[in-house]
Formats: sequence, structure tokens, C-alpha cells
Amino acid sequence: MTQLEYVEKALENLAGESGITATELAQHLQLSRSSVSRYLNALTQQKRANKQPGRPVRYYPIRNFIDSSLHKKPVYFPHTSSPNQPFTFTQHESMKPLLQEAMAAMLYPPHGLPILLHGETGVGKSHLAHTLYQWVKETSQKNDSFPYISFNCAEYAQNPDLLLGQLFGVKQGAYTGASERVGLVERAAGGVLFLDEIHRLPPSGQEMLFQLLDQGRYRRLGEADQERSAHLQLIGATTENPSSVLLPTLIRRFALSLTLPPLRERTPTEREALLNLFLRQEAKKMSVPLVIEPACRHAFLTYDCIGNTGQLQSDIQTACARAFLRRLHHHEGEVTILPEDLPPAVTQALQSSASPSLSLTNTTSSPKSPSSPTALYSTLLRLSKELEEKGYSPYERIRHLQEEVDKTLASDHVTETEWQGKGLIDEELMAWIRQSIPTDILNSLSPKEFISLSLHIQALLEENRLFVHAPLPVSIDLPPPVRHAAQRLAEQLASDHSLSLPPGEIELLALLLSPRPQSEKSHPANRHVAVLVAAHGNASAQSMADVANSLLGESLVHAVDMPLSLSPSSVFARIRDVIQQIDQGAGVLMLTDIGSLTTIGEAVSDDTGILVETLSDVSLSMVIDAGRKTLLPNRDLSSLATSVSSRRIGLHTQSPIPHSSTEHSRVIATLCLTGEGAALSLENWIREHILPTHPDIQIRPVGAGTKHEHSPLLAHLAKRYQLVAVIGTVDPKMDHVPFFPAWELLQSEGPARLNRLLEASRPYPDMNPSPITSEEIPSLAEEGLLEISEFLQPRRYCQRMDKLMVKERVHLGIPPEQELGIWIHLGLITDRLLKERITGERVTKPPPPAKEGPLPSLSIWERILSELASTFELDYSQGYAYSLATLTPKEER
Amino acid sequence: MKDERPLRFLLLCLLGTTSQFLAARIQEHATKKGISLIVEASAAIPARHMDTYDLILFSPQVHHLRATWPESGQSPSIPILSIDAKSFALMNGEAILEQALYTLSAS
Repeated sequence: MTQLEYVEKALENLAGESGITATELAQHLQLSRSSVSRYLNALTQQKRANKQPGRPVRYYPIRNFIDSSLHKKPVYFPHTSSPNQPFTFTQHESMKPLLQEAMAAMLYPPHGLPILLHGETGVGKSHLAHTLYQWVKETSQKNDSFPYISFNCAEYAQNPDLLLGQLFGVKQGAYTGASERVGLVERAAGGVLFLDEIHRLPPSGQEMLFQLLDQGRYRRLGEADQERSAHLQLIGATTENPSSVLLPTLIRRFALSLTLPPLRERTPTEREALLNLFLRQEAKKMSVPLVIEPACRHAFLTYDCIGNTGQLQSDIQTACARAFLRRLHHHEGEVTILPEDLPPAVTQALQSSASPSLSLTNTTSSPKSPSSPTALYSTLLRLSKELEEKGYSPYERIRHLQEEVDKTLASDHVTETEWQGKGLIDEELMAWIRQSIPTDILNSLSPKEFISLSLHIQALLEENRLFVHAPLPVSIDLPPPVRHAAQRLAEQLASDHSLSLPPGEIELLALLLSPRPQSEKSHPANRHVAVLVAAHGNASAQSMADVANSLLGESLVHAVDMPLSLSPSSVFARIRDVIQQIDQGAGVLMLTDIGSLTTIGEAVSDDTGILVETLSDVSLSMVIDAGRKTLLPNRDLSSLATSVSSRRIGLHTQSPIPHSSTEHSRVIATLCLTGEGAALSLENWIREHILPTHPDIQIRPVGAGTKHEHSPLLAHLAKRYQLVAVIGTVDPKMDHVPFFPAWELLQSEGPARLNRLLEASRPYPDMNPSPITSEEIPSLAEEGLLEISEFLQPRRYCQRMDKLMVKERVHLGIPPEQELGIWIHLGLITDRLLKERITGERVTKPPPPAKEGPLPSLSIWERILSELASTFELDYSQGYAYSLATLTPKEER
Repeated sequence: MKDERPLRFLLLCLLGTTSQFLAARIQEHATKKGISLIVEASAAIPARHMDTYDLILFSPQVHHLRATWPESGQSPSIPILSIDAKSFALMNGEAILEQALYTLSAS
């Protein structure tokens, strides 16, 4: 639990009706008041708490706030205009019979029949009552004289007399101080009276109610002589079993007794309809488009909602309120409900099912028989439509459709051979399918996925008839190669099996062929970084790997031996092949000894797309370390490389090979036949003679091979880096890259040409110097003047200037860069003038102003110079102000 | 590279005072790097024989004069560099030298 949640929980527990202050809460929690106050403010901002302004500020937990406000508020429920479809929940199968009966009772002449509603709290009793009333009002065109009075009998349950008085009215003087009062019964006459928690009526009250229902007669409290009459439709509601809490006489008077099912007994479709309804209502209230994350929607559909529909709605409102508040802060175009917005009870459902199991929500049985492609197809079509309505993205839809296909067609843990063994799939057909799919796509399918595909095609062939379907509405995101393969497969089916498929079926094939994300084989948890040792000699790499593997008890380290007789390009090919073999998708850490091997890793990486990191100067301890660390969970390639290379710091002076080189890095390749001889000595020579002035340059020794063949490594370097020069014993004859023969460098003027080349190719140090602001000027100027002034005290000057310029800056309207230059200029002039005064050394003054038209800023500079003059007791000649004014000639704006 | 004559830079500021200091800094770093270079400082007043320079550098306070500089139109062969304000203020000769060398190599 985070500190924030801790405070929130404490707030919920400790804040009573009147809330709690930060100080009180801090005392309870033994925390400092300021931090509690900070958390409370954060909670308030996140709409997880409310605060009531005042002194001291009081805080309330948000849940209490929403809950209590909800029960009193009538739920607005938009009615549809068609009388045949009066309620949104006529769509709800489990409610339909109930509603039909209730509507019949409502319309029974002359005033309808009394209805008793029974059900758990929150199932929608009062909502149903009000909806029924609305519907009657609509259908029978009743006017204002058709009132609806709702009363909760629990409100006055502690005082039966008051309760009855409220209900039936009071005669003046009925009891001490009683004044004449009209009861609810009277007000509801001709309309509907809804009594919630009707079992809280005392027996006497129930008797009076019975009288009313039976004869349409009642008395106000204390009235003896006069009997009043009222005809109304009564709807009662109770959470208790009616026969045990109501008088039998009263129960009998209710012509219709309906039990509303709790949310958990209603079908998923109904629950979903409710969710959609509530979301629409919230969206309407907020007048902003409302979006809900699929995971959140799923949580709302599945969480254990004890308080039934009412609780569901309240939880939705809580989530909407939080999401709405966040939108206010971030100014987004729509309100999005995210997992963090969900109330705790809902969040639990979120965690318990990380990925929504999209078992079809309809009660109709999902097709289990793989032999019916028509059924599968319609399942998918329906699922796709459902997903679309739920607002899933095309990508998510494809994923879920694939899941559905895999689930429907091939159950878990069934291998290809088992399928064949069971005789479910024709072996010949499987072979035929294998041939008809491009290899790379075939390889991307897991056995299970392949079986899905085979089963589907087999079923197609067995049914062997044409289907008429609309195209699957999900085709948008399938990758072109997959579509192409599906097209080809369809053509093959047409030619080899004379089965021509409509476009919709081809789309479905493409869906079956497309790669599934997160399939088991690529699950990150199962992937390890592979370790490869590559070293020169006949057996050194293999023997190091062997020792490491036997110590680790597992075959974790792979090896490539490179006898010196092997040509550089075959070394490259060999390493590339091994890397492709051993990569599990998490990359390869290559440990090498010397020379050209360092570049090979990069070249292979570019060639194959496999991540490769290279560490040089391999030692046995390094190999063991690397092997051991790959077993640790959550090791990615770069962190593994860093961790392995950091371990050897101190043992080796040479720094690890920089692998973070950018594309702009300058590289010099040293070249000899093997990459291990002259290339290495050239590397050392360059390191000593060139690098001190060009620290950014990297040197890569490369082997050229014997037959002057095109070196893949040089091509790689040229492609990936700025290859500025090749230096070596053999000319690789590359276009665009100058070659320096090794002997030339060893001549006396040899390095000059290389140096000039390096100077010319030097990268621009800072292409976009960051713009400076006026605030930075004083400190920058002070630092600069410290460098060059002799007599001036830069701080004093800059403080003075700062005061002056703050006022004058607006009038001058010059960019900060120019102003900074002027600060330095004036500072240096002041320094020279101080020097002149102290040492007597003459300073050449600028010429006196030539008459050259008006200079609007002249007066400003004169003002500044006279201020400086009085500060430093100096005499600036007028020429200075004039020359400055020429710099800033235009001012009017 | 047949001619081995030194590079010549002209560094401009308002009165040639500040630029003198900066020129010295740049010179210093060029010597350190073994680059043969002459940097001259001047007030930003158009002068003759501009074509003897390889590069003209403008201090930030006279940067805007660059547009009206007669040479910029007439001799496109002479590259021009505006010194960035921070390097100028800090008298960072090394950074300015790098900027200058880059401008030369790029032009």
C-alpha cells in the first residue's frame, strides 16, 4: 500500500459525518501535518476525497459522498418514444415477463392494481416503480393531475405516529401542538404512491393502508368524524420476505407481487446493457465523449457487485467522476476510464483477470464442433461485431478473434501428431497446406495455430459449398504478406481442390495465418539472452565454454573457434549462422578476444536484426559470469552486457568497447589481410597520435581477406558510421572513403594529410546552441568578464547593469544574445577605462558622433552610460553611446 | 592540399576591443592543436581586402549587421559565422574554433 492509499484508507475510516482535518488525521497516523495535508490535497485532486473549504479545511472520503448523494437522487432514465418499447430493460430477457405483468397491473381500470416489488437492495425497485409510472403517463396521456409520490417508510420508522401522520395527514389538535396537515395519500390521489421499505410500517399503519386499498377510504390522524376518500395506485417495495413482515390482509390486497432478480442472477447480456446504459447516462451528464478501457469494461462486467444495480451505477459514477476530473487537468477531448479510476471492489476483478476472457457473452452455445466453418464464421462475425460495439481497437479485435479461433478449433496441449493420431486431420491435407504457405509464415505459426488452420481448411473442403458472407470487418490491420499468402492459399484451393472461396473466407484465412502476439514461444519470461564466445585459435573458445557450462551445470554458453587459417569472411558467416541459431529473441552477448571480432557483432546485428552486444578481452571468469547472469530473471541484453563488463573493471585497463555509438560517430578502419596483424599495430599508432585531439573517433581493426574480396565488415562500418578513412596495408578500393597506405603515415609528413582530413570531417560541436534568456545574462557576463578583465570587478558591474537593463530592456527591444554581447563589450570598455585611470595607459576612444540622422536609442544608452559613470567614477566619451546606438537603431513599435 | 599558407579569420565586434581578447583565445587553441591560423580582430566597419580572409566571424552584439555586410553579397566565397552568445560571453575560444573549423569544412 502506498502512503497515499494509506492516508486514503485512514480518511475513509476516521472521517465521520463532519469530516476530518489534516491535523487530526496526522495525529492518528503519527505523520507530519504537512505531509498528510499534501496527500489529502493529492486525493482531492484525484477526486478520491472531497474538501470543504473553511478554517480548518475538512476532508471527506469521496465514496461516502457519492453513495449518500445517490440514494436520494432520482435516476433519470430516458424513455423511448415508442410505446411498445417503454423501458430500456424490455430488452432484458429475465425482466420481460415481470414487466408485462406489471404493465398489465398498472393499466387495470380504473386506477390500476396495487403492486408489491420484492428484491435485494439495489436491484432497481424504486427505479422500476418510477419507470412504470412514466410509462403509464406517456401511454394514457395523463396530465399533471397524475402525481407520483415516493416515500421511504424507513425514514420515520423510529416514530410510528409521525410516520402515519406523514402518510395520512394530521388533524389540527390531534396531539399537542399539531397543526392541520395534508398527508401523502391525499397528494397522491389519482396518481401513484410508491412506498419503499413498506415493511417498516407499523401494523396499525398496514391496517390503514389496507382500508385505503380496499375501500378507497382513510382518515387523517385524530379525525374521528370525517372519512376521506382517495383512489390511487399503490406500489410497495420491500427487501424482506413479504409474508414474514407484512400483515396477511395487506399482502392479499396486492394483486401483483413481483420479485426482481439480483444482478448476479441476470444474464451477462443484461448486465452489459445496464453498463452501457449507465455509461451513456454519464456521458450525457458530462456532455463529453466517454471512453472506457476494455479491461475496465471487463472488470465492471465481472466484479462481485454486492449492492446490485444501484451499486453498479454508483461505481460507474465514481469511475466517471475520477476520469472526468483527470480530463479537466489534462484537457483531453474525451473522458477515458482507466484502471486507476475504478473503485476498489471493481479493481479486484481487474487484477483477477489480466486479459479479458472473451467467452461469448451470449447465452447461445458457442460452436464446439470444428467441422462447421459456417458456425465458426458466424461466431467470429458476431464476436467481431460485439468487440467493435464495445469499442475495441481493430488490433485488439484481431487478437481476440484469433484467440477465439484457436480456442474453438484446437483445445490446449494437443500436439500435431495427436491430432493426426486421432484421425481428425488428414495427413495428406496437412502436407498440402504446408506446401501452399510461404515458409516464413509457416514458421511463424505455432503447432496449435497450424492445426487451427488445417482444421478450418479441412472443414471447408468437407462441407464443400459456397458461403455467402459479408467480409469480415477486421481486415484493416492484417499485414500484406499474410494477405498475400491467404490469397495464394485460396488460389491453390481453387486449382487443387476446386473450391473457390468468397472474399470473406479469404480474409478469415488471412486471420488464421497472421502471427499471434504473445504466443508461448515468444513469451518474454521464457527468453534468455544467449551467450557466445568467439576466440582465435583451434579450441580456446570451445574449451572456455565447456568449462563454464560444466560449472553452471547447464549448456548456456556457445562457442565459435576461429583457427587463423579461416578467412575473415568465413569467420563472419560462421558467427552469423551461430548467432541466428542460438538467439531466443532476447539478443546475444558476444564475448571476443581481439581484433576484427568486435565489429562482427554489429555487422551481424544489422544483417539479421538480432540484438548483439560485444565485449572484448574475454576471460574464463567473464564467460562464467555472463552464463550465470543470463539465468537471472528480467535480464535484458544491455543490462547484462553492462553488468558483465563492469565486473572486470580494475582487472583490465582498456575500456569496454563503446556500443552506444551514434550514427554520426566518426570511425577509422584499420585494415590488414587478417585483421589481427598490421591492423592492430596501426590501431595502437593511431590511438597514440590522433586521438588526443579527436577523442570522438573510434578505431576498428578489420580483416580484408586474401582475395581482395569485398569485406562485409567495411561495408557495415561505412553504412552505419561516418567512416572517415581506411588505413592499412591493402587498399579496399571503396568509393567515397579515402585510403591511407600504412607506409605513408610513417613518413615524416605523413600524418598531416590525415590530420587535415580529420579536421575537415570534425562534427560541428553544437549545431543548435540553446538560446539564452535575459535572466541568464548577468551570470554569463560575469563569468566571461572574469576571464578577460583586469581591473573591473565583474560582479559589481553586472549587478549595476542588471538594475539598469531591467528598466531599459523593454525600450531597446533587442534579443538576449545581442544584449549579452553588449554587456561584455561595455564591461570590457569599463575595464579599459579603469586601467587608463590607474595605470595611465591610453585607450583609443571611438570617434565623435557623425551627424547621421536621429538615433532613437541614443538617449537610452546615454542614460545607461551616465549611471555606469557615476558608479565607477569614470568618464565615458560620447562616442561609446553613439556606437551602441547605431547597433540598436530601430526601436519604435 | 598544396598551399600551406595559414588560415586567416576576421573576428568582428563593435569597436574591436572584445574581439581582440577572443581572437587571442582562438589563436591559443589553434596553436595547441597544431593548426596554423591567424585571427584578426576588428570593429564591424567594412574594410578593404576582405578577400584575404577564409572566414569572417560576427560577435553577437553585431550579429544583425551581417545582413547589411557588403561582403556577404559580393563575395559568396567567404564563409560567415555567427558566434553563439554563450561561447562569446564565456570567451570560449576552443568552442568557437570548432564552430569555425566546421563552418569551413562544410562550406
